[in-house]
Parts: sequence; structure tokens; C-alpha cells
Amino acid sequence: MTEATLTSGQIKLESSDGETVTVPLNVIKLSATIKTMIEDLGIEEDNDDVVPLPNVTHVILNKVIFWCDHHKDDIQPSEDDDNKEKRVDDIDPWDKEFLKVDQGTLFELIQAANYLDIKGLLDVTCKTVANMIRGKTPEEIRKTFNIKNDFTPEEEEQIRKENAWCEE
Amino acid sequence: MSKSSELYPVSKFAGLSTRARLSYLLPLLTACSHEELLSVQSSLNLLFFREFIPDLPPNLSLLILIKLTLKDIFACMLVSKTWCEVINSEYCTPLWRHHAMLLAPTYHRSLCDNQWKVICRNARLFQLKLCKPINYCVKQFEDDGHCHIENVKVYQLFTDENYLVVHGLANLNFCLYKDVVLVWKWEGDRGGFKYKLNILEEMDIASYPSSIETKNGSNITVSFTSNFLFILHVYIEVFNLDVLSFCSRVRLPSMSEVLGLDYSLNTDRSLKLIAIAFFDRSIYIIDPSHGVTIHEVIIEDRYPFYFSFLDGPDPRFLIYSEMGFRYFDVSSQLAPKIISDLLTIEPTNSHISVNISKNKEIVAILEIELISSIQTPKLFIFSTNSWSLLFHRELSPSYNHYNILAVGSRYVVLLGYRAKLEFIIFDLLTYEPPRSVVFKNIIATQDVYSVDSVCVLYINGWLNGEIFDEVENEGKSIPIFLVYSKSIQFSLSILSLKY
Repeated sequence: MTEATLTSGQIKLESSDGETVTVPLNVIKLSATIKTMIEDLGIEEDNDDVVPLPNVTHVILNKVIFWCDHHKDDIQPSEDDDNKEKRVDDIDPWDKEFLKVDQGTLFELIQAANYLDIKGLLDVTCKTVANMIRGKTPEEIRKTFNIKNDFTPEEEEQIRKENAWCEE
Repeated sequence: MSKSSELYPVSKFAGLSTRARLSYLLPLLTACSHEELLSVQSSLNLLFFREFIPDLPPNLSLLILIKLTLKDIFACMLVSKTWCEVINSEYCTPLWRHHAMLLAPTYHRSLCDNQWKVICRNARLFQLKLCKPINYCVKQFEDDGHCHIENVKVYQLFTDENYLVVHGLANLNFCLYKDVVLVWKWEGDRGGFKYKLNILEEMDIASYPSSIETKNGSNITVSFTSNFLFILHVYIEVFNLDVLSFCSRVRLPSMSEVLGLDYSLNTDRSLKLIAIAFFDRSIYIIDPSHGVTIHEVIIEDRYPFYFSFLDGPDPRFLIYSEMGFRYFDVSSQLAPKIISDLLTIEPTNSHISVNISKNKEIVAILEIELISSIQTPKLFIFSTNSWSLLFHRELSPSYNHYNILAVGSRYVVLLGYRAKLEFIIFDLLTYEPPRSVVFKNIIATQDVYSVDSVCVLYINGWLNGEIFDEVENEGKSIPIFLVYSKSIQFSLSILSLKY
């Protein structure tokens, strides 16, 4: 267990595998879930109360904290931004580097970002997966994600026919 | 219970903490032979893969899918049965609604959820019918992608994803009759760099005002943009105008006296406003729901002019010609007014050319001022969101000609011509001094004229700031389409930018 001395404005988070991580409040405030939990559970900063996170392992939690620390001063996206046309070509270079991880880690980061309600992280992780798909043929997508083609040639032809309008 | 779970206490192992699991695993791995470790390693590699789309909760899969194009979604449906099921499940209704609204923004939004894929399909087919040629391929270009076509009269360019459509030979009466359309399809995404020249011999609709006379002496003219089909029916100086999109049809009956058949049409995305410009240089902005003209503009100079609506909740309208640029707020509820005259240019000693980014957020204006036979070129970059001047810069007079080649939200690219063609790149993020890039494999087919020239730089992603991976694209060619005009003769070059 990581046991750090609390400095001003910090809280403790407990991962699903029992590790405790101390994190500055201004970093983890990016998580709407933790913000709500702190308010609902009446947890005060700089004391020994621990916020339990039963859905996030400590490895992923550390990565999430690392991401939040880098983005703590970013302007948070508004509701309007949610409605803007989605673009996948505007991933920040730091995020691109941060997300050069194996698929398992990326998968868990998406789930963690969703559970912790960190909009920016969820958006950038989903964009990364979308970029792994974008512009690829079905066979290239299968190769990227190690998927077996379970269509018969007839079934595949049927889907091609029904949805050819998408491809044009 | 499977054999493996009999051999290893998997269920017990699953309940342990990470630290405890590792304390079991590491001694086991340490005890493995080299061969066993290699086997474990190859199994481990496979364990890192995730399918994402079927494995994630549907709301998260949707967040990924909604960032893809229809073409990508088509590919996803063909990956496996589970991928196909997810995409066609009720959870993905918002995906189809998203694309349907992009394709047919005026469609009634209160539809049943299960109709959205059908709406999306029909809207896409309508769009394809407008944009896509029917017959294919007579000649293939050489792999160097370089060619010249002389004496082509270019009416309009359509760039719809991978298509560049240029159509119409001089003196041909086309539209509902025989027509010739030239289409270059860029197949760069398949690793090659090939252009096909397709000749379309028959088409059921036209792409720019093309007329036929009917038996009773009336005249029908048809044209289209990427989203709308315009049909103008003229009979004894009275016209009816039909504007069709996939899901809407607006008719303006017997509007006014016809001023001539030389006209241009445009509409905003929601089809709430239509602009018609006539050869006498008048532009009417019309509210089709009431059939009334809400604004009339007379262009006073004699130069070719262009106009366009800007997307957004409040309709805004741009008019520009070589001699001026005007920007309007044209709400149909309020009295229209000119918000600002952005650029006032003395017609005697300067002219301008204007280019707008595809998302219509950035406007680049090139002003060439002639003082004592010396050109003084200036570039102005405006943001249409705030309608502010982002920057302006005097350009080097050492070039014989300048032309605005492309405008994106990140870069503005000018084409400069002195001994060779050069691309002058302005970065709107850093405002660094412009970079000049000479492309040695480019030879101009003729002098570049800023007036009437149409240029298309086919790397929209890069223009908007997407990082262009030079290593990944090494050896590949990016097509650049340039169309030069001289009088009524046009020539077209397809140039390759090789990395």
C-alpha cells in the first residue's frame, strides 16, 4: 500500500486491488464521479478518509491521475462542445504519446474514464480507438484487433449489398 | 469444468489481489524453460488484444462509432457478426440519427428511432444521385498522376470526399441530354496513386445550369449543389423554382419577371433561405416559406462575383467579387442589415480574391494593389465566428502571381509563381513567417491567373491541423488539383506532392 504523508488539498483513493493513492484535489477534480463522492460521503481533504474506487485498478488509476495532472489547468468542455460535430483529427500530441499503450490498457482507460466521468479522457481514448478503425478495410480492422471473420461468404455478400450505400 | 481449470485453480486465483497473483505467477514463470517462455510470450501477445466495439458497454461503443464516417461504419459491419449486431442494434440509433441529420439537416426530427437508418440511407442515396457519375472509366492516367486536358470548360467543381468532378465541354448542350463529365477518383487510400478519367455519356440530372426547351416554349433549367437540386421552370418571363433536398421540397411559384437565364443559386443548409443571382448583377435572398424577397443586393462592379451562406443558427451571407467583399446578417425575422464592410478597396488600383475554408470558419482575402505598375500583395485572414481579423500580412512582391489555393482552420496555402510554382504556407496557430515550399515536379500548364481560377488542394485533414505523418506517407503522393482559366478556355492539371 502506498502510504504518503498528506499535504494540503489532497485526498486518498483506494483502487479495486487495494492500493491507496494520494492525489491532489485540484488534479482529481477532473473526475465528476470523485467530486460527487467527496461531497456525498462528506469526505474532507487532508484527513484519512479514503474514496473507494472498486472499478479501477491501481495501474489504471495511476495512469488516469497522470493524465489529469497534465490536463488540470485545461479549460473544461462545455455542454455546447458535446454537441459540436465530432472530429477525430484533433488529438493533442501529448495525449497521442500518452495513449501509445496496449489495447488492454486502452480498453481499461475507456472504462475508467467513463466510470470516473472524465469527459476529456473519455473523448480522447474513444478518438484513439476510432483512429485505429478509420480508413481501414474490414480485413485490416480484424488484423488490428485480432478478430476472426465468422461470416460465410454469402452472409458477407448480403451485408455488402444491404449497406453498399454507406461505402459509396 | 474445463481441463485447464482442473489443472489450475483459476477461480481461486481470480479472487486474489494483484500482488498475490503476481507472487504466484512470477515464480512459475521463473521456473519455465526458454521454449515455454516463448510460448507464453506468443499467448500473452494475443491476450492484449481487445475487440472494443462488442466488448465495451453499448454507450461507450457508440462514442467510438459516432466518430467514424459512414464508409468506416460499413467496414465495421463487415468485421464480424458481433460487430454487425452492435451497429444494427437499438443502442446505435443515435449513430444513424447523427448521420441522417448531417445528410438531411431539414428532416423532421420527431421520427421513430427505428427509422433513422432508413432515413440515413435514403438521404445518402439522394446525395449520391446528385454527385456521382453513372458510367465509368475510359482512360486511366499514368501513375505519375500528371496530365493536361486542354479546352475543357469548367463550370463547377465538386469535392465530395474522394471525388473531384469537373464537367462540361464547351458548346455542349447537356443536362437532360447527352453530356460529358470527367471524374477523377483518388485511390490513394489503397496505396496507389491513380486517376481514372471517367466519361459520363448520359445523366438524368445536371450539375450546373443546363437548360432544355419544352414543346410549349418554356424552359427548364436544372442545377445542383452537393445537398440541393434546383429546378427552374421559366415560361413567358415568369419562373417557378423548385428546390429539392432529400427530405424537403420548396417551390417558389411565379416569383417575378425573369431577368435572364444566367443565374446562380444557393441555399443555407436548413433551406430557410435561398439566394438567386441574375446576370444583371442583382442577388435576391428569399424566404421560401413565405415566397418573399427579404433582401436585394445589386453588385455594382462588373467582375465575377460569388456568394455563399455560412452555416449556423443565424443565417449569414457572404458576397465577394474581385472588387469587394460584403458580409450580411440575413435573418428572415428581422430587417436584414449589413453588419460590416470588411474590406474597402479602391477599384482603380487593386483587386481581391477570396477563399473560404470548407467549414466556413476562416476567410482568406488576397488583395493585389497596383501602384505605378508595382504589385503590392496583401493577405487578410478573418475568422467568421467572431468576424475578427486574425492577421494581415504584406506579401513579397517578388512573385509574378499569387493565388489562394486552400484555406483550412490551421493553414492557409497560397500558390506563388515566379520561376516555378511555390506553395506558401501560413500557420494560423503560430503565426510564424510563412514557409515557402517548391515542388519540383510541378510545371504550370500556363500562366496562373488569379481571376476566375479555381484551385483545390486535396488534403483537408492537414489543412485543419491534422498531423501529416511524413514518415508514414513517404513515397506516397497527395493529389493537388489546379484549374486555370483563360478567357473561356480552361486547362486542368493534376499534380502530385510526393513525400
